Amino acid sequence: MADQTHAPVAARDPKKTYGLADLVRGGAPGTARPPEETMFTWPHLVYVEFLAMLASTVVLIVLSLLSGAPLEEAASADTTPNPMKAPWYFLGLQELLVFFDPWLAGVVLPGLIIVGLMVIPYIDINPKGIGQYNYTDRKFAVLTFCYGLALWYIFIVVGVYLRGLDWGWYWPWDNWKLHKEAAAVSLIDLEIIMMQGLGIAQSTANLLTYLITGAFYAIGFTIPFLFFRKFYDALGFVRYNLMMFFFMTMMLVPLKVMIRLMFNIKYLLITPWFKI
Amino acid sequence: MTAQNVGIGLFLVVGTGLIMAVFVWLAIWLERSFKK
Repeated sequence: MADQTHAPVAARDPKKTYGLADLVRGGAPGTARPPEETMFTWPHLVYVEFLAMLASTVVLIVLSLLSGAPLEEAASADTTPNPMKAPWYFLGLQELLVFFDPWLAGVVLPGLIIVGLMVIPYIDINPKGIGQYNYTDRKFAVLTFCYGLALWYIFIVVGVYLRGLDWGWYWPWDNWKLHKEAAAVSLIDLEIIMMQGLGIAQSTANLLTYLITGAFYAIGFTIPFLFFRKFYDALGFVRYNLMMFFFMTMMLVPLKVMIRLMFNIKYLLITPWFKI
Repeated sequence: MTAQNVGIGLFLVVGTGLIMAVFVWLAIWLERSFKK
């Protein structure tokens, strides 16, 4: 890749009104290539995108002709299906409802995903790889994004293929018509475990769970700051903290899910306002 | 921790890893395909 230099793309004329892009410290976003090595978005890129859109439409039409999507019988309050499953693309969110309060799983977490994606252009000031598919120079960014996307799909896979009666976990070789015993899995809160294990009062144990959750974020925020200082210096205080908040929350969701599914711990942290 | 717990944990870790590997492979493939 060509050397990225931060040459100003326009003369800094005090009489001229600049867009937001010019207010960002550290040079204007753009490519280091001279004009003769670049081409216009329209028509070169948009033309290809239009063709791709037409091709996708044809593929979708053919698929919808070949694959039936029959409606089930009319809904009846007497016979609610068990399990009640959302359309496949929402099953990841429905799966999250098992692990979090409804307003967290249904509102806050999807909201954080959308806001997190929206702030990427403001947080990501790395000029490498602009305008091209680039993995080599953007390993952390690409890997983080792919991880987040994989999380989205693994929950869908679980919801579609592994959730049966009463939203229990059914392997493909299990008998899907047999109700699993309700008492087969007894879930217990982390603070109860600590209360019994350490012989402390529940209020103390509750306080400890706050500390553990706080420590999770604190360690996550501190490690890159200590060991990848260049990363922090490049982003600056506000961008770094924003990015780490979204990153650590993204890591917390599967961690909580794993702790529940593997260790039968219901909630890590119980506050008067929410439980995680 | 029962075998069921371990199985679920393994499934989630390996499954997420496999899906992620597909996306990363696509990213690498796209980069190679578009490089002059």
